[in-house]
Amino acid sequence: MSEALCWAPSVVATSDYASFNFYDFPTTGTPSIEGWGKLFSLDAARSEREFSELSKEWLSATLNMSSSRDMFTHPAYLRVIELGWRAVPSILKELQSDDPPHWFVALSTITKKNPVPAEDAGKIAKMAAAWLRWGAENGYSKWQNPQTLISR
Amino acid sequence: MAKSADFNLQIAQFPNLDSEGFEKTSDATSRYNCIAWSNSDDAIWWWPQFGPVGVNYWPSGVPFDDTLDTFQKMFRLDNYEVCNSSDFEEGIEKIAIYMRDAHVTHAARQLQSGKWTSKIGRNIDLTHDTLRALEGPLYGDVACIMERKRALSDPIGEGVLRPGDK
Repeated sequence: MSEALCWAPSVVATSDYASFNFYDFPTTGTPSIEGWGKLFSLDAARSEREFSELSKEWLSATLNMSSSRDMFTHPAYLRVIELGWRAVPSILKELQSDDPPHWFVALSTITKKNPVPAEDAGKIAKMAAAWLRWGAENGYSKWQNPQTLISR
Repeated sequence: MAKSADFNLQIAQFPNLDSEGFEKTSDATSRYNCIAWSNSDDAIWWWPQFGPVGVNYWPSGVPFDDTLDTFQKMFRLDNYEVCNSSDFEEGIEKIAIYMRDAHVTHAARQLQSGKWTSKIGRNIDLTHDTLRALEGPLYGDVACIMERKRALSDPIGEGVLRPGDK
């Protein structure tokens, strides 16, 4: 493995990267921007796929649960938390849904933040809107106007 | 008659539901849960705080755990007291608390008809003929019944009317 690849903590030599030409990286000196860009794009796509699978699994398994203990200790939910910051864009995307899933514990655990006002605890649409505002303020993708969620 | 499979109510989770009988009364939504609905609230998700921050609504002054004692304290705030029977009594409103492995999992509210109404997680809410209908691997068993005098303002016992209610 080249010296450059050792600098990327999330790189795993799996079949996901079968089409990636590792020789885009020089064996000495600074890796090319293009090389890093390709690597991060692959990693982002892989994270999105992994989150999507975990989300489907969690949503299905916990559909009929009310207990936070049951919902937030489900293995798929814990695995999303383990994905860390890589999961945040995908989670925020899901919060744009008309019926936002309860990803708030995961977001708070990953980011160590809580943008939800105390008086909005339990108000799912308002909690989702608060997190989407946080996402917009912190450089994530273009988001739907969070105000539209409050009217639901 | 409604079938549990039609609404993602897995037989593995609710083995008695089809045989005991139920009727769907709302579409699925994440907006509120069983504890909210047992308090006649269809706007907020109720549960003791879990995790690093308060993501659920929980009445102030009630501990943050999912023990039976805590949920009884919560319902006492609304004048419920523990009783011995789930039988329907005129003028009396009852709720049933379910537990699995010493943790509360669900609550149901009795209607004036004598049947029970429950919100099933993020799924539908439904009317079920018996409490046994929801006993099983997911919710466990009924652990406690509590009662209070039915409010004069809610003689039918249907709880909060939602926009678009039939």
